[in-house]
Amino acid sequence: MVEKYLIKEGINLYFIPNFKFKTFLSSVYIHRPLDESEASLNALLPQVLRRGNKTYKDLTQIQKKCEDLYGAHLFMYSQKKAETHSIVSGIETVSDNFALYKEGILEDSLKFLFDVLLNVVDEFDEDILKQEKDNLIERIKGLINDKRNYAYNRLIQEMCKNERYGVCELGTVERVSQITAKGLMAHYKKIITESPIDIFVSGNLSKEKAIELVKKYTGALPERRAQYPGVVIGDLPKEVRYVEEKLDVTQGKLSMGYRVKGADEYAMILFNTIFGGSTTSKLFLNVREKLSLAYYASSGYDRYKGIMTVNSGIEFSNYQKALDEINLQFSYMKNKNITQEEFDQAMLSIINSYKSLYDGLRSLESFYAAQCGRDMVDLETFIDKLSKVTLEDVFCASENVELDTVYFLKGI
Amino acid sequence: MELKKTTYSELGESVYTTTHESGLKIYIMPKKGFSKSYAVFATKYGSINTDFVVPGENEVTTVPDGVAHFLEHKVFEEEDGKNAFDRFAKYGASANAFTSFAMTAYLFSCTDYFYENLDILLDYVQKPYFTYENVEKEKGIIAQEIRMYNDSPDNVLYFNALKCLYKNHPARIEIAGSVESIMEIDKDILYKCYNTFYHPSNMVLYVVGDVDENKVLELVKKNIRQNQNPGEIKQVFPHEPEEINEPYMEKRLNTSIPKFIIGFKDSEVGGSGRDMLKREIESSIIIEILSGRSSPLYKKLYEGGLVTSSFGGYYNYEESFGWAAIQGEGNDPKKVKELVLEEIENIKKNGIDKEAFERQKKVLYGQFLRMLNSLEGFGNEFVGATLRGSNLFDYPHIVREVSLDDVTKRFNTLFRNDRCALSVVLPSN
Repeated sequence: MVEKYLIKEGINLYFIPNFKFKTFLSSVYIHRPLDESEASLNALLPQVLRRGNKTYKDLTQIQKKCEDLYGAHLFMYSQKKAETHSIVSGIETVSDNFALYKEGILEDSLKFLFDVLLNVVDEFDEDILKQEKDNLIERIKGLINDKRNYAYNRLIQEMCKNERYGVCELGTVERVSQITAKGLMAHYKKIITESPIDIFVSGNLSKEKAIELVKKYTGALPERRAQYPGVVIGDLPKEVRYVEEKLDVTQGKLSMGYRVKGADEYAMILFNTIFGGSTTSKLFLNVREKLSLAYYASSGYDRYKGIMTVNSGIEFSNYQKALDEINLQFSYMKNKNITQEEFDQAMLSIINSYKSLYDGLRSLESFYAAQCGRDMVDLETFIDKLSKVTLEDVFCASENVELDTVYFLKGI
Repeated sequence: MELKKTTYSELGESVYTTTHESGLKIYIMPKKGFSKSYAVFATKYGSINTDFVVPGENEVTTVPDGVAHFLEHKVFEEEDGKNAFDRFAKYGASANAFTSFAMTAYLFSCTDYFYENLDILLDYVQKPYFTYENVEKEKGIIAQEIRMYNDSPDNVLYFNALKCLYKNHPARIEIAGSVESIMEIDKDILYKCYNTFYHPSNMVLYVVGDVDENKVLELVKKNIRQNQNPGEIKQVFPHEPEEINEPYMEKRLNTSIPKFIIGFKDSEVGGSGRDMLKREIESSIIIEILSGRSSPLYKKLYEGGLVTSSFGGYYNYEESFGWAAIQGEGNDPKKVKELVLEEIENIKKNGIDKEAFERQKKVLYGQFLRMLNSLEGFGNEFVGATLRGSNLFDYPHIVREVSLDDVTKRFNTLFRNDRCALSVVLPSN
């Protein structure tokens, strides 16, 4: 369950009551359009804000405060969802009823979170800026370390190279190097006054209390006529693109991207689960289990962007065999070669995954936060709609999915 | 088999415990209002158990590295050529397994059909089916997995740290073994290890969720057919000196920035379950005081550009070994090690900061509460602790009772220059 409350124009509060957890969670989402020109700024800003403010002067003071709040998790990062680049700042701490000395942790935590985000220094310190720029550059360069993720990111980059979605949420080394303290401050002032903001509060407290506290600590924020960044759904491709890259690795990565346009989202979730989204999926059972062509082979569907991907780790020499087998399984999906049993098991598995979201504050919040700027569907309604999908619906959806790009990472 | 209920009211939790006549220990933790249920069926058998005495025998049995992990793969296989995943899938469960140094765990979580799934879990883990063909086929799959680990900078970094610290103890060997060692594994070795370690007397069943404890017990009675407890399996470990093996190891891999672990070999190991838990808590506190984000060392390293924000420490242990790791990324790992050792000397000279000590106690208490939010996270920790003879619910009490004296002693024991080694992974170009 989620309740929406308008704090002021352009700023919403979403309240998720929950009494079974021992912690409390609050996050602030500032939504920006995903764009090469500002991605680096959006990625750097939370890292610099985390270094200190007018109340908590430096990293050590911020960290000491977190520790005093029973090891509160203060997290600040940027994330991309379709063409939206959100700056997320949040805090998770233990609930008041578990505090050892009966102190009020909840209000203190919220005050702390908004201090970090709003009580910002007048000018960003040059040393801090340089350190955080260096760190961000290292992170961008370090993306290559996790080969599984790297292959996925490269696939998306190649597939969406003419779209904003191809932009990396960490920005680029060149753009980050050019950021100045003045430029970053100007960007901060712009986004904090102009962007749509969604604030989530979940845990053991009343809605009235949540509203009261959020109002109290967002008093300085002006109203705004804010528009959420839209979404661009790419067209179904006419032909497949093949991309190969060589790196010093011992295991190959084969990643494939598919476009989805015009399909029912719920039916597509089932389509993906049957294809490669569970341990009874066609990819898992055939590519991995039956033919031993891969250590892992699975698919994922991004319903916000209309892209399905396959990710697998294979021996270099198995490239053609694995590609053929994945294509064969995909053709079965397209030719309505899906049994009722496959469908039923996929349904159970996916309903299980969505029901599991109820058991985590973060997972529940993420489910709703991903829907910011859309008509928000309650998790209960969502599960209900999903459970009503039929095999026939999946057949219909299959007409709206096509292979777009094949990316292969091989050894030198 | 009578259930005993223990309530931890200050935490809002309770646990039912009992022991089956086979020796199987059962723990049921009711969690009202959760959608998910989670079950773990685990054996006290991991990668370090390569030498052991089978109950009733006198000779030590020695098997190749990687058998525990190999078994984990094969136990899923069923006689009709299918595997346990298929059975779980019929009831929508998400099933998995993992092998660590000292345990192998089979688990599932689900939101519906909990009892059907529990029935499957208890059944398949007790029904091994190994043939010449299915063992040979698995070697290819596991070899792929091992190659993937060998590509992973974090994995290589971690095991090189262990290879630096340990001369003989099998903690220095990768969990899955090596491509060479798994080739020596055959179906007889698998059956021998299976029959020894997968006896219920060497296992634990843990269940958590909105479940009925009596129905769980009925399922156990139905599924656990063995009723003889064959006695203790003697675990054998080679003699391990207190000194470290090598002070430095490096490897070039595909990473953009050097990664490092500064390891400290602990000379205190084992003891009672409570002793080990206490040692873990004290070690975690001093590691945070030395290198945590509010420490002077962290500030110096981070602001000096010597490390990125992913710098921090942790304590690792099982009954037969223990060590502290300070891990990070940065261009000059040797300089970082020097500054860490310098800070250790500072703290030894000036004493541990009382405020920092009190803050870290609060942090550990908070971490424990946070862990209770996650059925799987808490469950896995609880089972690991149980197999070591510890009761994880002692944790918050021990946190409260640990004194500044305790951690000062711990600090002097754990952080010694001559027990310190550095493992580094450098970029390959």
